[in-house]
Amino acid sequence: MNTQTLTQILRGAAVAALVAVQSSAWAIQQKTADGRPQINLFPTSVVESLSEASQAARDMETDMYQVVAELEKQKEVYERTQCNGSTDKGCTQLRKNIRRAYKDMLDVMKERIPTMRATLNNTSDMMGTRIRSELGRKMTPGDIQRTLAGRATKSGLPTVSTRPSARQGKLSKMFSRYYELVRRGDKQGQSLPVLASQIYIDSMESLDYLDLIEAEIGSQSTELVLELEWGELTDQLTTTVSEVKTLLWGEGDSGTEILDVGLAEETVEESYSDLLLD
Amino acid sequence: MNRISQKARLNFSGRRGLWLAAIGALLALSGCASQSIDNSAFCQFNYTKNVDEAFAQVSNKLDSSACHYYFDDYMQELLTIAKGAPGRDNQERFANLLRSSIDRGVISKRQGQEIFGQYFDTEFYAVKVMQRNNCASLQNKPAIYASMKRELRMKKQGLLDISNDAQGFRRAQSHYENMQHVFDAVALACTRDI
Repeated sequence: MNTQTLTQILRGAAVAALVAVQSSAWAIQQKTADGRPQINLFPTSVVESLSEASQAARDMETDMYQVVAELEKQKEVYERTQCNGSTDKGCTQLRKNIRRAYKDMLDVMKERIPTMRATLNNTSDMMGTRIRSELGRKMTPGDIQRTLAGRATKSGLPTVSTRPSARQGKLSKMFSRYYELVRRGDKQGQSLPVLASQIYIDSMESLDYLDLIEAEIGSQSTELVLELEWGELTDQLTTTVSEVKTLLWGEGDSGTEILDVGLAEETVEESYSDLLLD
Repeated sequence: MNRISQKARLNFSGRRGLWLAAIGALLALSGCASQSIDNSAFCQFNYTKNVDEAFAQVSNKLDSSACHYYFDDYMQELLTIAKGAPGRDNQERFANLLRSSIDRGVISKRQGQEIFGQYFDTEFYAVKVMQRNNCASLQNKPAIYASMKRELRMKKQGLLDISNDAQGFRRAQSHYENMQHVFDAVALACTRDI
């Protein structure tokens, strides 16, 4: 084989390789240009973080449930018996009990908040990073609209029982529901951007609540609470309890809201395709 | 002397020229005015409650290029009249009118898509035309939301009041809510970029 033939063969091989590379590049471009942008909002790390958040919330709620329920029961009795301002022995005892329950609640919160905060921070950071890179930088507003509109069937997201058990509070329910949706859901489901956004915003809001509660706890030394045994119940106590309740149990069951999001059926009006932008 | 008479002659001919030009301009203006009055009368929309008649009338008028200028007014008239007889057929009527208007050069294809998209598409035209990525686009989030809100009102007219398509309008509302939810999260995530 002379040098000229060898050169020709090599040139031919190079051209063939170039064509092959070009074709595969074209195929990739076709895929991204033709279909919707491929997004990966829920890598394993995010799913694990959701699972951890759900577990941390459940642990906190288990500890909190008894103490808050006891506190609520005593407050209800206190208000029903019109103890406000009374120096009656029974009323004084009730106030003492309420403060003790309140102190227990603060202690549990103090103990649990750091873990809960770390888990929520982790979830919101991970989710925020994914949203920023996958939706913020890779997509245009039109891409998001197309992705959301592409939900043709109800199979995009799995259904989860909306009836929580009696002891399952809002926070843990919220995260376990998210975890289930993400774990069992279609990874390219059209509603996933909405789900990711909800998880992100809920995590941030929960963190805000934790900040509020922590600030309240910080401003009330437990000693002071006990010293005030004979005084009236303060607004601060009521505020803190209501914030704790909102964080843990919420104001209403938002389960159906989550499941309804983005499940409406979409019909494509083929006959007007010439008058509709993609 | 010669020079003076030549100058006078020049002055005279210049003056006569000016007069002629002025008369010509006047005649032309009056001609234009009468033509404009004729066009205005012809292009005037004669109100009718009958939807088919109204569309036929507009289509007929748009055959004349002099009436093209009135396209927006016609659209408003038709939107109002169609509301009086809501139904799915109206969407087809508007689509056909827009198609023929594009073919006749009354509006561009883009304008046709814009009008149809704003009134009859469950998705948002204002969002479809944004070309920059979300982190960049959503820096102007209030303006985007204002456009979407304006368009949702147009969709209420087009889908609900005119097409009687409650399901379609609900889808548009759902898009509106979901997109704003996602946009809020994306905007927040983008501002927390390190």
